[in-house]
Amino acid sequence: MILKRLEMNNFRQYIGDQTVEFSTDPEKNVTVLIGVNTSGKTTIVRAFEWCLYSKNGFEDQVLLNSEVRQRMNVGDVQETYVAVTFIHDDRTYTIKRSVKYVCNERYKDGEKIVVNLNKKPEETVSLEYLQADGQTKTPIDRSNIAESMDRVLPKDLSDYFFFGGERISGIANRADLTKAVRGLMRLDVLENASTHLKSVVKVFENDIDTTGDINAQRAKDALETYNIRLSELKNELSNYDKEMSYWQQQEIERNAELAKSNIEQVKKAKEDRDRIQSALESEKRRLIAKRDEMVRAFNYRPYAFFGLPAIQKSLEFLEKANEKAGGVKESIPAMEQDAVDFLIHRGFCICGTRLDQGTIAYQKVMEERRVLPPEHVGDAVRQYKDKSEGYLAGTEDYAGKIEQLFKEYRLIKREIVRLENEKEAQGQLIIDDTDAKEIETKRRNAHTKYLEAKQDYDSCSRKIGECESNITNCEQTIKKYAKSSAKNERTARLIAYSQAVLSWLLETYKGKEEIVRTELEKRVNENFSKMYHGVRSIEIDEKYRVKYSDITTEESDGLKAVKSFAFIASLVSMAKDKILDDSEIKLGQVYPLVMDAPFSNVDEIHIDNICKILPMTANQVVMAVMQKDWEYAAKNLQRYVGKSYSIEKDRDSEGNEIDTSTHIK
Amino acid sequence: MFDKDFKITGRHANYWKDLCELAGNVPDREAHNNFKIFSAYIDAYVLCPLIGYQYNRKGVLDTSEDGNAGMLAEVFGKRRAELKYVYQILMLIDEESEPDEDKRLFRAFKFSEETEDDKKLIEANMKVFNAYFLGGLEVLHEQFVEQCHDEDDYLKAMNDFVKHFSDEQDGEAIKAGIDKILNN
Repeated sequence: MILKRLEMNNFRQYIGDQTVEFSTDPEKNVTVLIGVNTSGKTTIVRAFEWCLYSKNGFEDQVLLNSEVRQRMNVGDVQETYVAVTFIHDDRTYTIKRSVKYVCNERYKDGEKIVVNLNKKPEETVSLEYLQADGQTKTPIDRSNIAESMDRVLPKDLSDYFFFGGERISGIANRADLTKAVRGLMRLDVLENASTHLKSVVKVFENDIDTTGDINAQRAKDALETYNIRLSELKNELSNYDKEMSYWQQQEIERNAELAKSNIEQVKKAKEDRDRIQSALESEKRRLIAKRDEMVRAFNYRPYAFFGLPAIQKSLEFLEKANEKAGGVKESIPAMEQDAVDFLIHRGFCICGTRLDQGTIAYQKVMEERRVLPPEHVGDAVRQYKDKSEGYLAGTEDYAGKIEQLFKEYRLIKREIVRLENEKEAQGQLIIDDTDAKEIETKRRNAHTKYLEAKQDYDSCSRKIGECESNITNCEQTIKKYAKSSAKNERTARLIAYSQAVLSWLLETYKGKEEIVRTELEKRVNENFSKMYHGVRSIEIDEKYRVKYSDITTEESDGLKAVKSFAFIASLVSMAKDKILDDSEIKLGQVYPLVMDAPFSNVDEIHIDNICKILPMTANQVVMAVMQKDWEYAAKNLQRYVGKSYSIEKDRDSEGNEIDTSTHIK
Repeated sequence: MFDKDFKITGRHANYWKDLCELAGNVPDREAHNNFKIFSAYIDAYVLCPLIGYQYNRKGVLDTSEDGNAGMLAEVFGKRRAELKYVYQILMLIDEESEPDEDKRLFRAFKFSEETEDDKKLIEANMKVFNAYFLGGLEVLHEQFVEQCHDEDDYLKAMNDFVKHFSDEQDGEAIKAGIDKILNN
């Protein structure tokens, strides 16, 4: 970074627009601003700090020029800004920071006018650079400005380039200069890189999962077991499926059978069948009765029917014989000769009279005997006719009756056949109650068996599901560990790379740091001996602290300042000389040195010495000095001064300086 | 007459058994378990002589096969009057056994067995009666047992037999003739 221009507008005591052009001549690299005490030298340094890093080092935070402020009325807006133009890596940048103040209140406090401004004024910043054509300006995105400035000159290190005389002496006594030295030498790049790499290695190491291989093997073993189990279960499932289908089919068949015999149907069928059966039994009984009736009819005096021709013939014969005998003689009806023979043989009559041969009774009876058949035809005929009439009575319609009964028998027979057919037809449609019960039992059994099979099937299905998900898990585990195994390999490679780079970096860093320390110690000693009138041996410890190796006494502020100058000059010169640059790493930087009253605590001889060295060690030197100090410094510095300014305050009509109206001329 | 035990042997005994319901202890009952057209032996014994006469059939006992059937004397009691009537019919009209009309008239009414002649006459008459009985058994056996297998067959045969007889003999005309004589 080489400063080119500083522009201030109504910034603190610098009223209006003030511009300082810095010398960029490599030979005459010193710009001097000469002013009296309280003239505003420190404000120059603070203007840089505010502009570059938004660092407001003033006790009164208001940056607006007081005179301008006093003139503000309520609602007035005033802007103050600082713009720095610098060259970095052969490119010209301009950073401009401005702040807008608004007057909130204005009143008189006695003779004094009080102007109150807004508490949080709006601050804006812009950074732009000129293209190679020297005209086109390219703005850098506002969100990147702070970062960009940090790359040009880190804010943390700005202390070493923009400082007032009061702060110079303290520098070399700081507790830890490591950060500053590393920063200035850009060793922090290497340090940051190695720190980063260390964390990278750590992250990579955490990424490696050594349990993976064991788990993968375990998963492989489990997978094999689960696959065997799965095939067994599938086999089992198929059996259960078959069993289920079988019992389901059984149940369907039984149901179909039962459908024929649901309760209502069974009831009706039973009633129908019972009705038919009872009718059938009745008809059968009737048939038997009819049969018996017919047999009885056949047996009722069949001789009277089948004997008709014979009876007719016998009667005709008897009629003829009777006519021949001359008619009928009266006799005891139905009495026959053998009846009289019985009485004679017995010896006494029906009335009890003895029937001895020769008696009157005997004669009378024998007379009766003579008129009885067969001897007396007439009476016999009469008797025979009576007998015939008797036997024929009631047999007149023998044949008709037989025919009628047979017809009835045939009708009953037909009815029986019809009923039997009906019964058989019913029997085919229905099933018996007992059968239904048996079927129902079988159906229930089939249903139970089906449910059992289904339960087994479902349970088996679940087991298969579990088994399959276990298999999936195992496969995923194996895949995952296979991946992680590949990843482990890759990570191990990355760790190896990182560690290799890290050790190279550390080696490089250590080497560079050693160079820095040695070189710094050498240069500080050289510079110190050039600046200091006595002989002092200076050591740089591991924390880059500057120590005298041979002195333990209290050092003066002057000595401290000399020591700090020696230190800063050495650092800057090392950066300038790019002592760390090699073919692989560019670490060297160019820095300006902006100092406010650097010689305030330094005696004449030392000022002289310092001034001999500073222009040669730094790339650019800007110093604001008091007129009296400059008189000593000019002796050695004059030939390096490229630009020179004087800081002057305006004077009022009475010749007094006006604090709030300073100009750089 | 009709007051002593009656029995026959041989083929006709079996015919008799085939035609009648069997009562009491019949050793060969199983051999004669067909349908019966008569309720008892006596029924067949009353009818068959007339059938034999009508079909002009007299039977002679044939002992070429085993057979044994008969009735005790008590059985005749209630049916004796019927039997005597049938006997008289046959005695009056069977010209074959007695061509002389007077003798037929005499034998038909000769029931007394006082004398030996009487006895001889009645014995001869009974032979005629029983010969027609056997002939009647033959006819009915042919008409029924030899034609029929079951009840229906028997009942149909019974109906046909009666109808056939009635048609053949012009039963109505006979009845009218009989009525004329009886009401004279």
